[in-house]
Amino acid sequence: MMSFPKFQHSFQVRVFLSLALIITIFIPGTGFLSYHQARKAIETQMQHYSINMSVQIAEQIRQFMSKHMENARLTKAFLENNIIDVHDENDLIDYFYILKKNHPEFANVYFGRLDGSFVMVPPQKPQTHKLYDPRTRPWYKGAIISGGEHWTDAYLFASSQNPGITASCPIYNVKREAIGVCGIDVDLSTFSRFLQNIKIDNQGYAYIIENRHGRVIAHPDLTRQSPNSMHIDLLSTCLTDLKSTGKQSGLTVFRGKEFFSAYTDCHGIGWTVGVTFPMNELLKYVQTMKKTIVTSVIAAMVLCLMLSYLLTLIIVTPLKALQTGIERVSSGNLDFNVKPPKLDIAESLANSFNQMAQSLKDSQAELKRTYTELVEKEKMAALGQMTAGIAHELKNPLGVILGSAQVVANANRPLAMREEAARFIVDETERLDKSLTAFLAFSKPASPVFSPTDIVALLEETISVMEPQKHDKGIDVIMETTSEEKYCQADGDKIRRVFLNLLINASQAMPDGGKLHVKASYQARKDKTEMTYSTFLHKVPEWELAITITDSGHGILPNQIDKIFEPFVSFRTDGVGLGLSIVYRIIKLHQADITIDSIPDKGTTVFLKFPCDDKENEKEIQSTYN
Amino acid sequence: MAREINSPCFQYYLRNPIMWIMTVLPILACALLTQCGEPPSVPTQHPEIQMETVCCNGYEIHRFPSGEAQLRYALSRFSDQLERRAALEVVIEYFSKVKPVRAEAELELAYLELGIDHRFADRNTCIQALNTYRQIITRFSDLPRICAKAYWYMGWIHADLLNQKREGIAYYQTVYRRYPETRIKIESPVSWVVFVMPQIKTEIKATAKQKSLYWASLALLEVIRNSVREEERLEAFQALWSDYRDSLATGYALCALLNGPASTSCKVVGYAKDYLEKQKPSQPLADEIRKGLIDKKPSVK
Repeated sequence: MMSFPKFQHSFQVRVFLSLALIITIFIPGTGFLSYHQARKAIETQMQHYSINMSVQIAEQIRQFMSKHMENARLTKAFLENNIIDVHDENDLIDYFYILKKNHPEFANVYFGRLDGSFVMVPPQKPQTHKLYDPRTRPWYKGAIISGGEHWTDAYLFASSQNPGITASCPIYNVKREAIGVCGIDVDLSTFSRFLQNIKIDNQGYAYIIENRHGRVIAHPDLTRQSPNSMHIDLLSTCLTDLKSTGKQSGLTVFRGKEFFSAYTDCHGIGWTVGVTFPMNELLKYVQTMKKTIVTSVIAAMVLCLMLSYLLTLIIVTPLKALQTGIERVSSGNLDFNVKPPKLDIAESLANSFNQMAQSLKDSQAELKRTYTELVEKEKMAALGQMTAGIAHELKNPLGVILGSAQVVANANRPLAMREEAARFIVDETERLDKSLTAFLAFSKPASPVFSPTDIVALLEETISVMEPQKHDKGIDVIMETTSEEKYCQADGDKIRRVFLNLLINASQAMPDGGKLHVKASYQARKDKTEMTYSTFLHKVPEWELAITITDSGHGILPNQIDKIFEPFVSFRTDGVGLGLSIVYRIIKLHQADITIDSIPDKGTTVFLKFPCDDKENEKEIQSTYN
Repeated sequence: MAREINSPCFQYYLRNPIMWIMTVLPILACALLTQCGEPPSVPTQHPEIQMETVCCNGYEIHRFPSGEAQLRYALSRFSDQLERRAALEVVIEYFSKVKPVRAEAELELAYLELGIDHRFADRNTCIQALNTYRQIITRFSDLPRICAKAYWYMGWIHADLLNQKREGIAYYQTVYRRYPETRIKIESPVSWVVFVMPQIKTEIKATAKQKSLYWASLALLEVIRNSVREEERLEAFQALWSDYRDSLATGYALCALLNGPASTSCKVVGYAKDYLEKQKPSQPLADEIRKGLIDKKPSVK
């Protein structure tokens, strides 16, 4: 799995990704909700629209048909009241023509008598009329059976063979005997044409179904010479759904497409008005809106992502400038200033940083000044201490010398006294010489001259030189050295002086004798830090020489150990206090290490560690030096 | 405001043309897609509305691809006489080579020559119509259905409108002699869809529940109705009975004969009984026949 640690830990990337996450969740979410709500609203509107449409169509049909029945009723009144002579064919024809003229929508107006004679306007075709018996027709039988106003089911008109329905009324004589039936025909193609002219969106259409027989009373396709079979199949599917669900409206899936249908009953006629239209036609607007929303969402996301990127830049740029500033200041460039951006928080942050850098700079200057002063004070203190030490060291011998000189100068003194005084002068003068030599060695140490040196041999040699003295004092020297041959870069004279000082100190710590345990061994260096001087070709010596010098003397008090390497600090009455200071300085010049551990009345151990290397490298070093 | 203009964000925008382009492009794309996403919808009108129309006698008449469809349209759509005439003239004009269609249209035009209502047609009009029918017979002598109808209409005009019974009977007899097997076309010129529920079976056809009817049977009926000569009437009936026994015209012929002179009516009693028994006519017709049979004894069968 790939990982991008650089980006994982990038503040800018994290801020940007957080904003991007919010954007990619909320903007498409908002878009989806908008689309969903819009689609729902349009579907609801569509449902209301289709139901209202079917209700309005049903109402118009009812009004249209009521005209027919009203005029049939009027005709009945005229005939029954002898306003029109029922037996006078010409009278009837005239009246029917007047009626037809006033109502061109009436397909046929007629009267069928009980004896089978029939009068109609417009006239029947002769071949039809010759065999026509009104008493066999549904309008006649329906009116006679019901005894009142009657609407027939749809049937074929005998004259034109067009499908239609008839509003009929039975005509009675004064004895309330039926003498015939008058009727007014409604051509069903009128409804189809009426529905054809109703615009229901672009591809929707309305239709009327007769409930009882399932006949399609009206459909825009019926006005055509050959109905579209797809429309008829769709209608069939819609009706099946209507019957199965029993709902007033709903969706029908036909050939993979969704159609919405709404149905309304034409009360009193036994018809159902249906409105069907394809969903995709109406959802076309939703689809357009969907595209718009998707495009807007994409545009908004791109815009927001860009703004987010800008925002992260705005946030991160000052931080990066601050980071650069911190790095520069950390590296010591206190003069570096962050250019403050013109944003309130970032600007104040940059100003604060610049103030901090300035304050740091001032503090550093103050620190330097204080340090210099301190160093001066230290120097003065050291000088005073040294001066006091020198004065102390000089004052006593000078006092002795002065007293002895006075004795010598006094001729009245006995000779023996004057000789003794002269001897004091000599002794004290030697002592002064010794002290001044020590001062000189401390204050102006000679630069070490490094060369490959066998320090262990040097240690053994120094011990052997001091062997007689130690023997006199009853000190047992136990040597424990190694036979390995390694070399150390060292100044032999100075190292010898170190050992001499340390051995003298050990010897002086055991005035009544004791044991002096000296141990030397090579060991691998644990801390392989580079040496800061160029005494080794290999900057990192592999080995170190560990030397411990342990005496069984009176030891050093814990509060004295911290000051043991300070100059002019001596815990003996006859000491100058420079021996260990000189030792410490020489050891440090050799990049070596010295520590002292002491237990009062038990003894003291001095630990020394010299960096050294293998013998093989010695020649190489030697040749390099040569 | 000035502070916003001087803000680094705004300055960043001003300095980077890429940012401008990246800002403007999505907005432009959005606007373009919104406008061009959906082509402007063209209302899909019903095919008939979109159909070509021709102007004839001041009326806009739709044009159909076939002569049959054009004729059905002319016959089914128009109640107004003049408009109907214009529609028929369009049929003749555009489908003159489709002979049966043209002949049918001319027959209808000949009928329209009788005026809005043939009951008020005067003599000249009738003669003019007769001439037209005669021409039709001459031009379409190879179309029996047309000729049969034309002859029958000529008989009808003579017998019913001009009250020239003999001439009429002659034409009717011509129909019977020349076109004994020519049926009267009884079919709806328009579609009629019936959904037979609840299984929903679709039937897309208008059917008349009428028995087969021949122009000859109708002509024989008219001979019976119009003739005063007993032999002629009986001869016509014999022909009707032998060739078109199950025809409705036979039933009406029986009524006419039974309600006519006794000498004739007695000769058809047996036929009437047989007709009632075997043909099962409608109730009114059966009642009429039964009414005519009262007090009549059969003389011939």
